[in-house]
Amino acid sequence: MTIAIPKRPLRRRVKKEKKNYNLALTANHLFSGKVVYFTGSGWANLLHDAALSLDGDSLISQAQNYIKNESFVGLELIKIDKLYNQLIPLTTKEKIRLSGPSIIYN
Amino acid sequence: MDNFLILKTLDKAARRIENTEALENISGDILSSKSIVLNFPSFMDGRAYSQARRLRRAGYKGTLIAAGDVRADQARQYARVGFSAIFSKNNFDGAISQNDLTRFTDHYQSSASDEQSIYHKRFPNTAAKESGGGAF
Amino acid sequence: MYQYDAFDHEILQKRIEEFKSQVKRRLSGELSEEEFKPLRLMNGVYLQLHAYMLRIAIPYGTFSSDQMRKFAHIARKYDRGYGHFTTRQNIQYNWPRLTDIPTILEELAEVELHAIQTSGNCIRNTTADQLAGVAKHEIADPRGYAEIIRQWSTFHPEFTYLPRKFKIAITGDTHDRAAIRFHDIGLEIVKNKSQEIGFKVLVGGGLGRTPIIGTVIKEFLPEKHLLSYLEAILRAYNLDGRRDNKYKARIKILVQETGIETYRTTVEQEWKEILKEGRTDLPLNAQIRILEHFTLPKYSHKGVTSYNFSDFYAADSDFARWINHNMHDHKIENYAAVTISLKPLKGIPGDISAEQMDGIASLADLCSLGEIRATHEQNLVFPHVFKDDLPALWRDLEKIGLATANHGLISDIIACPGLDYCALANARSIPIAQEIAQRFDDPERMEEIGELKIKVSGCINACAHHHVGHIGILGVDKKGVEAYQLMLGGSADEKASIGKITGASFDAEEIIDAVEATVDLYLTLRQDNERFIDTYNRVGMAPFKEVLYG
Repeated sequence: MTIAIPKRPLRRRVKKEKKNYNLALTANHLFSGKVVYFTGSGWANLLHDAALSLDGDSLISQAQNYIKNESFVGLELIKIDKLYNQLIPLTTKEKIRLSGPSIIYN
Repeated sequence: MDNFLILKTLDKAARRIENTEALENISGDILSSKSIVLNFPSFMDGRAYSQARRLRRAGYKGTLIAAGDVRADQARQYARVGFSAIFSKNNFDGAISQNDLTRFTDHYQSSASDEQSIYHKRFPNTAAKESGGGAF
Repeated sequence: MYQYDAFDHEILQKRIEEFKSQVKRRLSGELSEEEFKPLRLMNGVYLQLHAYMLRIAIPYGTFSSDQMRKFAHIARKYDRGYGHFTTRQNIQYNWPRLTDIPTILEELAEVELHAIQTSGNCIRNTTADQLAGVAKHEIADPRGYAEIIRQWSTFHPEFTYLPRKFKIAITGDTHDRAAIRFHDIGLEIVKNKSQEIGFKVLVGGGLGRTPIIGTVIKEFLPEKHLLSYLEAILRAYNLDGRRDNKYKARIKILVQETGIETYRTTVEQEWKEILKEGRTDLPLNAQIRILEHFTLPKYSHKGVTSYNFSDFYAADSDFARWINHNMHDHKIENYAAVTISLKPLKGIPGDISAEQMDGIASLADLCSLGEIRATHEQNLVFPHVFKDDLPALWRDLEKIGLATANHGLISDIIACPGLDYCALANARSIPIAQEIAQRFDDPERMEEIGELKIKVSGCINACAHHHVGHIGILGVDKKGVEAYQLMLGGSADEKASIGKITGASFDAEEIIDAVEATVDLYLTLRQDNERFIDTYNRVGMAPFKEVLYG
């Protein structure tokens, strides 16, 4: 049985803005829910390995080749700042996604 | 639920009722239709469940068909509100819907058909008229 | 407490089988994510920011020590050693693997617990007063009726794809601890002139984007017609509720747009038809059998008593403080109900570790007849404590860090998971709650301030009920940066009111100062023993605006 790619795989697309941001694509692993980033040729746990692009749509379409049976879900584009070779998400939400809850239980 | 049908084609004479009609008053004309099609524009749009319920309550005896975005995992619900058939152009998984139809032997509500609810079974001597548990 | 019979167990087992097969079909790719998502949501499985979240119902907030031990076990074996009590008498785990969830559900079923309809556009867990059955001035115990609703709404074939989620709350007391005015349906047990039990029925209350106080649709609904009337309300909503806009799909919008009179007429007409059929309401014997599960337990105390309550109260001021704030009057003489605060300093509101859960379970066995309650304010309650057991209980709670004497005070803050966990959130809630609690850490200052309910939501969905906090805080997103709106004057009880926004939002540091400025002003303005909310209602917003914005 072939699986149709859902029409709207994104929770929320980043709106096109005048300024061009580097974008990365994040998702959760279907089995575990773990956060992963698209590398251009697969998925990695570290943002450091993420593929960056100014063109979000192209990232998403590339990623479709690496989502067999939709084993990665909750795809979302995130804005990235590149500073001294470090990749840093621009929004608080993405910083928290990257490094876990900012509060630690006991 | 034994006679629940999965249709691949739709009788052109079947009467379509849109799901924006609340069917508060149901005409004799509707009641005498041989088959009626109720629509699920999206499977998340559950209005037709209540429409089916009202049609059966009004005494509709014909074939009641669920159409539109119908899904195998909802088969039990279609049957229990009074649908007697599903129409789907998609490759409908009959095995899944069959499992879904037969999985639960007992329900907290009486169904549109005359099956007994859990409350009948908890109190076998209760008269049918007061056997409650949700009129389904 | 309700005990499952063979039918209840069978239904739960079949549901687990069904969900197991759905997960299997998803993992194999047979089901697409679009097909699977609503199926998993119907069983309380969300995908959050970092992981899945599993929400388990604690029907009407009553559970047993054995069920608490199971929560501890699940936290240890399948999660990260803790759980989170929510504002709707559920418990959530933040880190389960999808592949483990069917097994978790099997474990839960062993102790008659489930995740059925804890999400999705269906009838959710019916919530109740946490002091149900023991509150001193209660008219009747609401939990039996809540169980009747639980059974009726479980897999109701007609009401699984409503326009939007549907929440029912019930109380048996005129003092409303269950926020019934802010639910899709609120039920208050009342007696008519002939002393017969019935319900005052409210409809169309809610929070979220459009906070609305529920309206009375029926002044007196005879007890025996509970289900038929609920079914009439639900059917009218299912057919007429808006489906064109997610944000206008709750029943409150339908009631507002059609007007309560028109809506009532529609419901009454449908109700007549349902009564004619006579198949919806429970037969009397079935109703009695369910209600019988909730008769008062036998209070024949043998006990662990080693103290005299009054002597200890007089001798230990810390204990006295805990009693003053956390103890509640009880129907039975020499007994009390007591709140176990899940808001310790530096803690996370509603969070509890597996070790603490085990500790609570043992203590509940020792001095609460094995029974525990979860409250919509994210605390726990022991409902049946012999008063002379309270000193020993308090000492044991201290050992597990759960003897915080702050129920109803400024540090007893409701907070949603916020941006730390939730994919929908705009801003973090938990750190704000922690900072406020820290700022007002001094017990004497807290006591001086008195009753003050602060509620912090991380987005407009209002999971922490910020509109009905005496002080409400709403997290908003300002171009990727967290900001917070301040609201004053909300109340969730029988004097229901919706808070008003003070003005422009604050950043994360400013909001703590803003709360402090608000509280300090209240202390200078208050007369006699006025609570914050009383002072606010008397003086209005203007002086607070002045101090906040100059």
